[in-house]
Amino acid sequence: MSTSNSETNTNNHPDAANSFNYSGKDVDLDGQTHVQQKHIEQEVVNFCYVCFVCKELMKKYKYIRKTRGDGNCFYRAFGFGYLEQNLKNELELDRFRKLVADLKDKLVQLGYQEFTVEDVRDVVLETIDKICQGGDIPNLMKIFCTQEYSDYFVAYLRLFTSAYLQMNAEFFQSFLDEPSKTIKEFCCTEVEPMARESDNIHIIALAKAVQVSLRVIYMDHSETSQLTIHDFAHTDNEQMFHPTITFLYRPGHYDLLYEN
Amino acid sequence: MSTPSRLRLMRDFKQLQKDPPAGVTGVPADDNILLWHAFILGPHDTPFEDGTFRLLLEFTEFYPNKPPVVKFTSTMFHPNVYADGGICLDILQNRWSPTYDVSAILTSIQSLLDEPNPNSPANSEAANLYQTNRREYERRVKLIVEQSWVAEHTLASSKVPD
Repeated sequence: MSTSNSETNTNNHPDAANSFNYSGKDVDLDGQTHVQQKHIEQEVVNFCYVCFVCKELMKKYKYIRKTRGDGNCFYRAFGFGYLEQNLKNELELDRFRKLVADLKDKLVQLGYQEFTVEDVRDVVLETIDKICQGGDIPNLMKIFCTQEYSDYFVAYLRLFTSAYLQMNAEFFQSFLDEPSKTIKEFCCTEVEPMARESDNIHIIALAKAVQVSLRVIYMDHSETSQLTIHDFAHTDNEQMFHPTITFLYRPGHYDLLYEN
Repeated sequence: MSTPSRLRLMRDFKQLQKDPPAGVTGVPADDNILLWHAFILGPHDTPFEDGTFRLLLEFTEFYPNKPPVVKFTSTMFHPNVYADGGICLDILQNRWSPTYDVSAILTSIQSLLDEPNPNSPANSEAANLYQTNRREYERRVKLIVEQSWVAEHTLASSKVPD
């Protein structure tokens, strides 16, 4: 480091070089110290929060699986997590396969072009068939890491979400952040395009559409003395709630969690 | 090689032949299905009427989960078309969905010709004229319509010696 910066070397804070100004004439050192102190306090709070959440998570969960952070993480994690949980569950995979097959007709009724929807459906069915025929975790990993196939799965889960929202438009309309948007517009701009991130409304719709219960643990500072847990049940019978997939949410991103 | 994207593009082509929308055509290159040549006719009762505009569509193995890159190769004068022919259209960017096909892309571009969005200009001169001097805008459009015939004629005559 050059000598002109030497005075900043004595300060351990990495932002110090930017937040401190020693060269001006009217230096408000007290003010700057106060700003820095606030900054450090916030970092300590953040750090304590992260430590707390990690400790709590470790009581109940043994692993985390990181998903690609490309705006599709919720759907990709859902697809992978769901198939992983049901690798050996033929009955459940049959049920899902039927839902996948039937979605096409619903989409055509909603005005989608038949052959494009069919094309996405066929690749997804192919993936499910591969899993049924002796799929194991390395196989599943391979499929989900091959972007051409993995993205088809994401795309179809987006269509599941979109179709459910459109078929229950009246109910979901009041949950939109921009009330002037119609559900159809919302689906065109926030659900179907790849890389659009997911919010609660997407999660509710997908859980109901494919009838799979989900749990999301939020690491977003909304609650600092306990874990913030949201359960998304696929039926109204909440007493029997048991999530098939558990997600860890950190602002803008979903990863998978595995129970002990 | 039959990858999902190539199979899908074959289906797009069949669909386009089976149910061709008015005023647009598209054909993949002989030796590369990821590269398509397309034509759009300027819609009736618009300044673009009678123009025959050529486009190039470049797909990747990620189609239909990612849209193709679409460019006019004919000279264009339009608020939402860049100087290099690139097109500023929501369904080719942030509104793309794999439920669209080549036919939907071409008909959307055809509609864009007479329904520009001057609020997100790719050609600020065209956007400005469109909003402030419609007569001059239309005159400039007519010029590129005429150019599209000349280019077409040159292309057609270059093939005559066969």
